[in-house]
Formats: sequence, C-alpha cells, structure tokens
Amino acid sequence: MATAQELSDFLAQVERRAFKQTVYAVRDDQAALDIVQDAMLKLAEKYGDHSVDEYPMLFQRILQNTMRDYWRRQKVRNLWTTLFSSFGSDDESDEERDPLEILNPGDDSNGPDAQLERSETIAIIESALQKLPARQREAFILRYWEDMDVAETAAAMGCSQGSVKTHCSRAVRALAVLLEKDGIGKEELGNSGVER
Amino acid sequence: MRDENDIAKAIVGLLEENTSRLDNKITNRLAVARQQAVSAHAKRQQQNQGRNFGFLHSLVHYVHNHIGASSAVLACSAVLIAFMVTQQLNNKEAEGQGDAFLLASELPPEAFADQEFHAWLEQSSQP
Repeated sequence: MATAQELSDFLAQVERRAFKQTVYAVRDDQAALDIVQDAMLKLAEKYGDHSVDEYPMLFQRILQNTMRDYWRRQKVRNLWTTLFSSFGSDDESDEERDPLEILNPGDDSNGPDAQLERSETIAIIESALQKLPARQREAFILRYWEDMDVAETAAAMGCSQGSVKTHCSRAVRALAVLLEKDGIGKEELGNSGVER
Repeated sequence: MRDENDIAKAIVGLLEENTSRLDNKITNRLAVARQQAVSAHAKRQQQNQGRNFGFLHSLVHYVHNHIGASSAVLACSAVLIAFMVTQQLNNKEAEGQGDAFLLASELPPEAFADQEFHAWLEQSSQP
C-alpha cells in the first residue's frame, strides 16, 4: 500500500501534464482543473491502497473516464440549452481557437526572439493537438508524453495494442501535416524541440 | 517509424517544457487538489486501521463481558464432542464383536445368509 508521501510525490509529478492533457481535450482551464481534482480524489479514495507502481495507469484511466463523464454532462446540458434558448451557445470556449490567441505575451520578459518563436510553435502544437480525434490524442499523450509502452497504453485506454499503434501513427502523421501547414517542418521541430 | 518517433519526441519535448511555465493560479489550484487527495488518502488509511482494530476490540470486549456464558458454551461443546467420540468408539466395538461371532461359529458364514437355512433351523428347533 502506498504511503501518503508516495501519493503526494506521484501527484506532484503528473499533475501539470494531466492538467494540460485535459485542457487539450476539454478546452477550458477551469473545467480541466475540476476534472484533474476529481481524478486525484478518486485515485486517493478508491485506489489509495494499491501499490504506487499501479498509480500511473490507474490515474490515467480515472482521468480519461472523468473526461468522458464531463463530455456526457456537457452533451446533456447543451441539448437542454439548445432546446430552451433561442440564443444558442455563445460560449467562446466551444469554438476553435486561433493559435495566436493562446500566445502568452508574458514570456516577452525573457527577451529573445527565439523565446517568442518557441512560444508560437508550442501554441501551434497545442492547437494541432486539440484538433486531433480524441482517441488519437489520448494514445499520443499516453504513449509519448506519459512515456507508457504500447501494452500499458492499451491497458489505460481499454483497447488492443494494435489499435494503440494505429492511433499513435495516425496522430503523429496528422500532427506533422497540421504543423507543416503552419510552416513548422521536421527541422524546425528538431531545432526548437527539447529532448526529454 | 523512426521519423514518427523523432517527431513525437520533439513535440513532447516542447509540450513538457511548456508545462513548467503554467500560471501561478493554476499551479496553486493543482497543489490544493493534491493536498485534498492526500488528506482523503490519510483519512481512508485511518478508517481501515480503525475497522481492523475495531473488530478485534469488540471481540475481546464481548468475551470479557460474557465470560459466564462463554464458559458454559465451551463446557457444552466439550461434553458434546466427548459424547460423539464415545459413540464412534462403541459402534466400532460392536462391529468387531459381530465379526468375531461369525468367525468363531461352527457354521460357515454363508449359512447365515441362506434363507432356507433359517427356515430349516426354525423347523428343527421346534419340539
């Protein structure tokens, strides 16, 4: 059984990535924070007695399920909103974001043009990730960002290893195409990319 | 395949770098969420320990308070077990005696299984 300290260390290690991953899926910071918080609590309350080695996969499964619950609730809410409101949804978060809107001007304090270019690249990548189909994005993030192997990713996603490979391959190709459209080729990625 | 892996790693490298530049409000909120989860975990651990300890405690408490009844139950159980063991031994003894009678008899054991022999015995034993 994991100790409180082990749980705390694990959550501290994954919370930022979990937040960003959720933002890419739901496109709303506050909703993403709520989802991550829910997932953390569920992990602690329901699976706190599991070994700390099992936490990464359990947490990812919980996070994905919590996101799905969010989408279900949103679907029902949107249905009622559409039925009863003649104005429809004015929520800007539902619309596709312009990558330039996501740029963080606060980074200018670091000065160099390279920093700005980097921020632009990240914004474009984040926008491209948001455009991916949900399963492809999920597979890409788990496999490459969470650094899970194919079997672990398949277990976390509840699908076969073959599906994971297909999703990952399609995701990378789709991302490469989307980035290419914005003028970011493999070389630019290589120049600005940071090896983990 | 190698290309795909390289592209993925480069993208992830940038994303990873970006997570370290999250807004303070967000990192604070994540820290609060983490603390809540850790508190919930600690609470659950305490409950589990309390449940295990609680069962043992209530068992000891019951035996202590009902020591008379517990002794009576134990004595009854001992008497019942002794009676059952005695019955078992007696049955075995009776079976042994039956076998000894058949073996020691002048007649062969098959004679006792023959129906006509019983009829003949009754007839011949009448005065």
